[in-house]
Amino acid sequence: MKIMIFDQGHPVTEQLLTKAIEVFGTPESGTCEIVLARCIGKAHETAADQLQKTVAEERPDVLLMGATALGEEIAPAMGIRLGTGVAAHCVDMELRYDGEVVFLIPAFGGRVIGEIMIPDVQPGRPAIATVKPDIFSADAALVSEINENNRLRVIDLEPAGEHRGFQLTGRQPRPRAAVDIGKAELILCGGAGLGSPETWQRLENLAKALGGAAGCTRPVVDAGWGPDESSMIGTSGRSVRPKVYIGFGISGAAHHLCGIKDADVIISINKDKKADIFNASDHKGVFNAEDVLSALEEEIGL
Amino acid sequence: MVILVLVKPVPDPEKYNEIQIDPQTKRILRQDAAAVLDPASKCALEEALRIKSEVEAASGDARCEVIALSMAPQTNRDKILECLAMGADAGYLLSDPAFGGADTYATSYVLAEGAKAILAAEELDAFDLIIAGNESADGATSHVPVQVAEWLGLPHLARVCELQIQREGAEGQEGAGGTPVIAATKKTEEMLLTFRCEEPALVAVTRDINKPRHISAMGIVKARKKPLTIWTNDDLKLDEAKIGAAGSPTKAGELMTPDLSRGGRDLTEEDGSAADAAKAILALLRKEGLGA
Amino acid sequence: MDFRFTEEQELLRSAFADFAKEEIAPYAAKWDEEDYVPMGIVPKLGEMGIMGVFVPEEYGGAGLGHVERCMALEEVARYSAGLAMMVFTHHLGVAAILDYGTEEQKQKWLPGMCDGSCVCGLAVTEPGGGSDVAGLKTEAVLDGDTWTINGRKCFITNSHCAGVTVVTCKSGEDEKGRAIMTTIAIEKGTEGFAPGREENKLGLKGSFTGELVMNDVKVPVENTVGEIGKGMPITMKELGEVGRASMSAIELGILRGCLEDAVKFAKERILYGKPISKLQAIQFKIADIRCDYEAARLMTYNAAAMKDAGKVGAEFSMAKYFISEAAVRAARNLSEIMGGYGVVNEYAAGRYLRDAICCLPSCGTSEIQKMIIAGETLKKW
Repeated sequence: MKIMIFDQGHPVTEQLLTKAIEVFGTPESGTCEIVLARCIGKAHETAADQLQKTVAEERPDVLLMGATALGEEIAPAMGIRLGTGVAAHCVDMELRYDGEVVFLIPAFGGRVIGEIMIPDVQPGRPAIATVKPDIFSADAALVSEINENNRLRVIDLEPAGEHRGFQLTGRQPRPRAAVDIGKAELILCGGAGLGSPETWQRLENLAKALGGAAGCTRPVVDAGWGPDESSMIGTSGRSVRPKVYIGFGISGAAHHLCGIKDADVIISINKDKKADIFNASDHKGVFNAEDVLSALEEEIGL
Repeated sequence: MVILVLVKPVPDPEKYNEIQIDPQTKRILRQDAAAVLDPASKCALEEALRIKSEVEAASGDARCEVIALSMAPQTNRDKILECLAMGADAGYLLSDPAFGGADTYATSYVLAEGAKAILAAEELDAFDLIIAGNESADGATSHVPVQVAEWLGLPHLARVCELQIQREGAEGQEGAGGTPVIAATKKTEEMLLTFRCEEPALVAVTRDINKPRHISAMGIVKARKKPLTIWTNDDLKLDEAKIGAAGSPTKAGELMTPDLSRGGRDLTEEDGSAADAAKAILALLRKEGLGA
Repeated sequence: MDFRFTEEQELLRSAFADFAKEEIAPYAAKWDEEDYVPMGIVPKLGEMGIMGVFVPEEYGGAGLGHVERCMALEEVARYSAGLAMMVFTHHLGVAAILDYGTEEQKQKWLPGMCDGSCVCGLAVTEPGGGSDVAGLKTEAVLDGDTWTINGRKCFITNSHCAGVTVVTCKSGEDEKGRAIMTTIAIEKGTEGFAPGREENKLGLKGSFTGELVMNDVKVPVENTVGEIGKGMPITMKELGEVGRASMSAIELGILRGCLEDAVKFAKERILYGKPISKLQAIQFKIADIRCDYEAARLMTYNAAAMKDAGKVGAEFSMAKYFISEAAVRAARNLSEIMGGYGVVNEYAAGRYLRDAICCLPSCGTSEIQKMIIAGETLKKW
């Protein structure tokens, strides 16, 4: 089986590589060959055309890529150009005994997980799957071992040809949160239940004082209290895997629960004793979020 | 100017937490949850209507027609009516049992063919712009807009959080047409990228691009006179092997609701206070080697 | 007989419901607690077409009928009966101008009333009596081209915010000494015309209810609404047809609030180890609220549809009487289902009960309605 991974220069590549080896086997085992189609920088603009050519030459059975802003446009385009199916935002994949690849994808905000198969796969008409960053974790030791021993074939996609359509006219970095929730070991998360931007600010300060990061849900972003989507946790936001997650005034909608399911310890504070999040938590407290915030501030002398 | 807006009815997102799977059939237990217009579709339509107001305000002769298109069962006719009531000038619904069971590949194919049929019916050469929502509430694949663009051979841009139409050569000239130029801002993980496109294209917009307007009683009355067309496959005459489940390269298997339960032990005694909870939390953090 | 809304009406209803959920529901409790009148929402009500839903398009309205008007009131009242009172009183004045005004008056006032820049009012009740309309004392004397008006009105909704108020005045006496009435429009700011004291009400907070004082108010005869001397039939018609249907719709909104909150609470409240919705006593109360709601709904829209068809009857009185009593019943049932929570202001049950009771005297008390109903029944049956 030949697996091609579209490497757009994003950490999700290492995550995909780790998962691919886990599912399909290591290159040494002889069961599969893994090829990296690397596309960096300016090459992004003509990525679709170049990738299409590379797939025609390499004829992989499976094409994997990160569901990043770029990947989300390339993958479905490839689906149409190659006449094949695309499994979007996979949360898992399996190789069944009969050689069939099964992808697991979320629907209805993550409330439902469904199996997707792409039966009519042929070399050159691969099954395509996208995976959001941080759904899988990268095995750093494995990845560096493979790189050191050159066990991976890398094909570089060069920028080529005239690029019609949308021309890039400017780029600006987005303001980022002080501590990225993707790497934090401790995350304090606040929702609309905090009530005001002032209380949100207190949560951010408390997170910082405890050496952690502040995450949020969509209503906080929409209300303009400060954080943007990079701090938003959920199926349409980020997935996180901290050691400890503490939710303040979070009710526990399915999409948010999916985003935090890989945390080691989940602690939740909510004044509604029927909040859905309590069942998905290790520890719970039926309290007003602000009261616990104040108590924590007092305990650590903030 | 003509803008096509792709809209999608979805089961009401407010009810997703209650969805149950039938343990036997592994299918969703159908609830009566009514379908609503997908929130991202509404943002797409709102953006088109905003552009329409701007274009028509800028010059007395300028006209911008907004057409809504959807592929859905006929029970969703009222969603198209809703688009007309919001301000769209015309609405089309592609509806046929043969379109059912389609994945994004077959859905985008039918929508693309529908778009072509609209051009023929309205005697237009091309749409100046096609707008869709970036991600729908139910499937959230984000595939259909890009795939429709591919079928139609149009450039596409997704995750668009800001959109402007500039009309070349129209400044200060009454009635001067000018080709519409699309200026769009795309949000990536780290960057805000601005783009410019001088030919007809498709953009998929994120929900933070605008706040869709309320439908008013006046809008609903005006909608009565606007054309709402329903086409079946008898009208489109598409090859049955390319539509619906038959035309879908992906096949759906079993469904499950993930079991995320962890037990939820109380942090404090029954009459514990917030202060007790705070102490318990800090103790847990210390146990994990975290905290100040 | 198809008692369901058409596809278009259903779309309209959900448009009003979405608007109410977003713009009214989050604030209703606060408006009630602070007795705050949300004038800021009036332009939005104008944009939605709620202020002028039954006014023809040529004057800036939506050009729909009274069924749609009642729908709007029901959806607003579901969350804020107080705000709905402002809207319905506005509709009363608008209807008088629409039905009886001159073309000049309609062109002058209706567009502003439809877009929300001008709230309208209708002033009838006086300290001397509300049920006794024939006994009202506000006097209007015509001298040449000018009316001079003196008197006081009380319990007038929109007293402190109406841009134009249609005032029922005594303009003369007939040969038997009975009062002859004329309805006259007075604009805000007219010298001698001003709101007086503002009432502190038990319920229906979120709308102004107060006095109007007229001290030698001079208005041109062009402000006469309808014919001189026809004030009584005009007032009675508008109160009877527009007013009572409105009150029915408002009380229907309160009823729906009671039903939805009762079901929600019953399913969530755990006693004896299970939700109280499993207990028959609770189920019986919910069944009563439901039946009251369904009957109220049919009566309201039947009356509204009859008016749209141009037919008039005691249906409006029957609806108002039945539904106002039903709303009080349902609010009480809800409060009892909720036990202690029913009398705690964090929940809406108390507000529903207070609002329902305050609806009883509006547009005719239950006793007045029963007299009208009996009169028609004895004649026709």
